[in-house]
Amino acid sequence: MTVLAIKGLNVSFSTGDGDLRALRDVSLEVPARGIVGVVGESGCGKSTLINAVLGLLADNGRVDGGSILFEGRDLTRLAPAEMRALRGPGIATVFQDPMGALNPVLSIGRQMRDIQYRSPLGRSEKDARSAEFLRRVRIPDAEAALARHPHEFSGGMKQRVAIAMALMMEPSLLIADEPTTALDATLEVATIDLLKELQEQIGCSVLFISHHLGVVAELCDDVVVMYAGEVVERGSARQVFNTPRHPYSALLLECDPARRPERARRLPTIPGSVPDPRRRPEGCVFAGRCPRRVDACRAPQGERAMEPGHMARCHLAEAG
Amino acid sequence: MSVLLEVRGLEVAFRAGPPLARRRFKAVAGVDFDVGRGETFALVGESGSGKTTLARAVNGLQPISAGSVAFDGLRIDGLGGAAMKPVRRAMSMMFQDPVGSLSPRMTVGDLVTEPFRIHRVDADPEAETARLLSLVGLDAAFADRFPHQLSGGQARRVGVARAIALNPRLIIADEPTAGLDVSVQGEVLNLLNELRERMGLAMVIITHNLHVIRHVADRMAVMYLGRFVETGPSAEIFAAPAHPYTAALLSANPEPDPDRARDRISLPAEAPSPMARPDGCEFHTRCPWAAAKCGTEAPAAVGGDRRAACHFPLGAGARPPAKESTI
Repeated sequence: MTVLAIKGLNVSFSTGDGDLRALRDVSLEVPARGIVGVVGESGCGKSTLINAVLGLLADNGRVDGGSILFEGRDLTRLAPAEMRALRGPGIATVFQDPMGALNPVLSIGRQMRDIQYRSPLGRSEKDARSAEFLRRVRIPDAEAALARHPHEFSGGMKQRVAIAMALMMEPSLLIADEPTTALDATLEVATIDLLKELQEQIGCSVLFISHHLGVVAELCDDVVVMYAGEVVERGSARQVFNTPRHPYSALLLECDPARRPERARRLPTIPGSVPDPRRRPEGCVFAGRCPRRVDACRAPQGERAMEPGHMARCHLAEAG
Repeated sequence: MSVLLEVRGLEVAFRAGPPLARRRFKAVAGVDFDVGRGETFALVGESGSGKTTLARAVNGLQPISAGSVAFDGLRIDGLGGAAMKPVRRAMSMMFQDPVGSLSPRMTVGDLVTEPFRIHRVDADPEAETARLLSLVGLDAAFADRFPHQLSGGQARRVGVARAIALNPRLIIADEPTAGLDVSVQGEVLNLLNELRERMGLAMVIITHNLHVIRHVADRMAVMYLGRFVETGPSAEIFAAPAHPYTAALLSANPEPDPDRARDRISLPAEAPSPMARPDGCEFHTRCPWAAAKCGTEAPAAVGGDRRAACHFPLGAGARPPAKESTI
């Protein structure tokens, strides 16, 4: 069963300098209990994608095509009140900056109680539930922690509190937007392990946004690679990381210094830069930087399936 | 290779805590290292380990409480602003936030020629701007742009141009690739490497990204609670880490390969605060191999070029069995 199915999503922002097409023909699926990673560099549209799913696009942004089906309902057609009712129990989010996600002047306990406003439980029962979730994210001395304020926690602990708050609603879908980017390496892997364990306990699906290829390889079942507002490749983590079919995915993987065990004084790079989203090319978005470019790249590219579940938006990608 | 920077027993202390109960603690608690001419030295460690404080102390931006710093044979610790100025010309600093370290009201042209004005060096600003921008691979048209019009990678290049403007002998780069995308990260590192080769620069790179160090650094030091737990040639440390903390850091480095077998050393809890240092080996509270001795007796870093401060260095045999670790 599919929890989230995005089909042909287009998102634009109106700017003083004309329309900016932030997402073009984005399709992806998050299966029940699956963890799907979205990778891409800054400006590729990862954040716009989750804002579109959450109904949190800025005022000048609009969905102009496609659908976002969450448990069968099209989120692009929901009224603001219906969308509000869905955020939390349906779709919960962990953001990149844990400090920005917590109110600095309220205690953790108060904030965790407040987000249970829909629950019929009494105050002490809500607090007990908060403490229970703090224990599940391994905050030591959970009862006492409820009385503390965000500044009394370290960065890794704040992110764990944010994870506890998101999962307390037992959502069907957890969106994690670069949840480990602000953390150190040892904390990063601990947070990923924790996220995976809680996901199994609660049985939710996860849409995991990251620019860190290693973290995605470790955590995710499926991977979606984005470039300049388009999905250029998607498939299982094994398909995409072991046999990348789109030249951009292949180059991105090559650039990661972690992929080169031997010492290289010169690290590989991708020459050129991302096209201006106001003047995106008609054909392949990556053609301007692609080492395998041919004339046929000037034509618009559709997704091609190489194997079941593995697609690339490149006419050079062969089956098999 | 002759020594360019020599740091001995360096300590930096701060006072912190609630009023009336302010206590002194050491953010950098005695470190020794040398950087040779043309050498790249990396400082690795997690947040709060004292990397940035150490860099600032070396550069004279942070008063030190003990130890010495010698640059090119000259003691520079304790020098006042006027005496430090010529030293800063030869030892430039790249700060962490690429955009934040550039004044938002100056153009790129003004920014890259600011070092000449500060040090009153006679130079043709236009010619220097063109020379520096081409050295860091930016188009001359960038000279009229403001920092907010630059991408992270471009802002980093401007930072590099400012750092190399006066032909320094040493660059201290604090997280030069933090916040950059992988493809851009490679460009910045390649640029620093090229300049190092062309100008014979020595570099101190501060980073928490171990993958980066493997490719650029000749030697490295791993910091924990303001001390070096392991130092040595980076290739050797990557091949066989001796200190359990180094091994944990190396294993905590997710690689983009879904099939890679994971035997990860997971560290329980978070690093203790430098205001409440554990007794004995300061890492014993998180070390999966800690034995009784580790809780009482501080290990000394022994050895020559390759040192690890551990009673039971990895790969040396006789080690207590690993505890079942929990996070």
